[in-house]
Amino acid sequence: MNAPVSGHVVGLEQREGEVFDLGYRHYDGPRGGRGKAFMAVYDDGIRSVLGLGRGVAAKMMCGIFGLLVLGPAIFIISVAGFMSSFGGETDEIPLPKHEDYYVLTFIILLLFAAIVGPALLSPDKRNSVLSLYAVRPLKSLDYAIARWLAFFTFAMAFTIVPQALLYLSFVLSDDSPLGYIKDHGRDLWAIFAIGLILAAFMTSLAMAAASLTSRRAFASAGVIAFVFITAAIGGFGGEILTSDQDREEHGAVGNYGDEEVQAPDGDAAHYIHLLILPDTMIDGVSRWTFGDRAHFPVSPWYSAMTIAAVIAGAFGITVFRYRKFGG
Amino acid sequence: MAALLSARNITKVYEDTVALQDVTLDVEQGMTGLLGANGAGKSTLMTLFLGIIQATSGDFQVFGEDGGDPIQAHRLIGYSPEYECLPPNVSAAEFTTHMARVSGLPRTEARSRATDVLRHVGLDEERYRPMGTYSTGMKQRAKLAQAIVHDPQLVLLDEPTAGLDPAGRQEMLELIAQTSSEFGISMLISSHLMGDIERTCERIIVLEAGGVVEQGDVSGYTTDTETLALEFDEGIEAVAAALTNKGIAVTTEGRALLIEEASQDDLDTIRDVIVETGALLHRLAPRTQTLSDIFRRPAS
Repeated sequence: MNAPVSGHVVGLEQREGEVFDLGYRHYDGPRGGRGKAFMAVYDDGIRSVLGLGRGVAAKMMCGIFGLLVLGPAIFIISVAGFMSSFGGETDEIPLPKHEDYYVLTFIILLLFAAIVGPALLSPDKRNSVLSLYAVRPLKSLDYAIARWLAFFTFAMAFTIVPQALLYLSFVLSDDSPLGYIKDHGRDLWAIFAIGLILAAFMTSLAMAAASLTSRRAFASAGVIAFVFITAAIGGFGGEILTSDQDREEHGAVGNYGDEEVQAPDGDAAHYIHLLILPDTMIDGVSRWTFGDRAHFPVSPWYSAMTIAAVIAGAFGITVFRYRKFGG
Repeated sequence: MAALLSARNITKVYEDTVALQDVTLDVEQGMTGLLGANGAGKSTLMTLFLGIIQATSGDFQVFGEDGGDPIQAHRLIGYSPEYECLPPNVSAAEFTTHMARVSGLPRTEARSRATDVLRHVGLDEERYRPMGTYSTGMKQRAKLAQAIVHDPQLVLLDEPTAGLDPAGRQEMLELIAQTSSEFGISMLISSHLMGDIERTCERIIVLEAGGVVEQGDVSGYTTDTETLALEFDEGIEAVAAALTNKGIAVTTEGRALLIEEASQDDLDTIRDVIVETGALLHRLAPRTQTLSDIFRRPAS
């Protein structure tokens, strides 16, 4: 048998300074292991969200959502700037503050997660690309977590950057910028903390939905459906369980105006209301983080636990689905 | 020298189907063909060696190491599955670079190797196009590119000529054979087409219904036989009739006459008959046994 010489036969010699066709060459450099493979999948996830190396539609998607989440911040900053340039007091007009911001962008963030997020997992499954990852030096879970973190990076940017811009504009437009930072130092860590929670919420929902189906559209619909169906259960449940006394005092569940209200123990209506995840997220967790607890009937700890449970459950689904390639 | 891949008494059972039964084989350096009909267990064997699925029983080794933890071995293995596995909205340049990086190559090296490999497989011009727009032949080349971009020692190609026309198949096989021989990359190629294996491989493993029925050097199977083959352009019937009259047993196979164990006297008679009948002889040679013959033989 005329087997080729073992090891690597040099077919084409590479000389320094050559720029023309070298064809196939042997590679003798370093070969990374799982860590490098993990980073490569993460980087590819970032490129995928940005649409790099992909078509025009993929490139536009990220840009459009980026503009949409930044839009309100740009608007607020512009209006405040316009007012102050005419010598008006910006405090006089009710411009949204940090704690109001996610009221404006939560639905955009949710749509971003639903539409763009599944692109990081579902198509690889649908197009059998996973079988190529299965023969690379990484484990199935490395792949899934690298993808999860790639989307999480964008989710963090989309939640934090607009708020940070807002904060910067508040600092710069204040008569005493340093004084503003001193007085509002808490806002900074709140921006970071809520960014982290909201990003984890969006990412875990999108990735869990994507891990359950190889069709992107189903995953997108799944994310939206999950939020709406749980909200419907929370809403109807709240209506059914609301006591007459409660209704007389406060009207419908959740309509608490500016009063600081804590639910009396055992008031089931308020707890089932936690299933309205956007309310729980925005009014329960987000406002609480910014030190404003006037808008939610139950203790913020219950809101935080509800969101944590959703994040943990959804993350668990993703981990389970990617415990092994082809599993 | 240790075999690159070796299997000892491997059995793989899916719920109610036996995919592989007591398979023992070695894959050595060079080009090895894995021949078998659809469902013979070729893909199962490959995915088992790659660590994607687990054997029900038996042992196997990859690069001389037990196949338990495939991560290490994966750095030096390339694989192209039978089915489509390329993301349609991604360009070949992007994807091949990415796969090189996942195999552990540094970023700049991955990019330059992807460019070189895509040129090597003939996708130079089209490398920035989304792969969903590629023809079947181009997809097969892109699949080969991602399998060799990290310069592996062993590449497993599952039906690399699937869906190609004869000319495309020939080109693909030449590319694979050239890649293997010029750069010393060992290959295990599965096919249900014996012609593919015969033309490109040095060794062959024949699978049938989950078991190995043959394994050895291709040259061992394609030796000359005692059968004399005479191919004619015209006048084959006249020659056949004349030879039968003179007591020489002939069988007709297409445009050829086959004569078993022809003696010197027989050869003289054959020469005379051809002259007498004026038939147009195209070729006269001892018949070479082909891999088709192995398939015609009942499995033992």
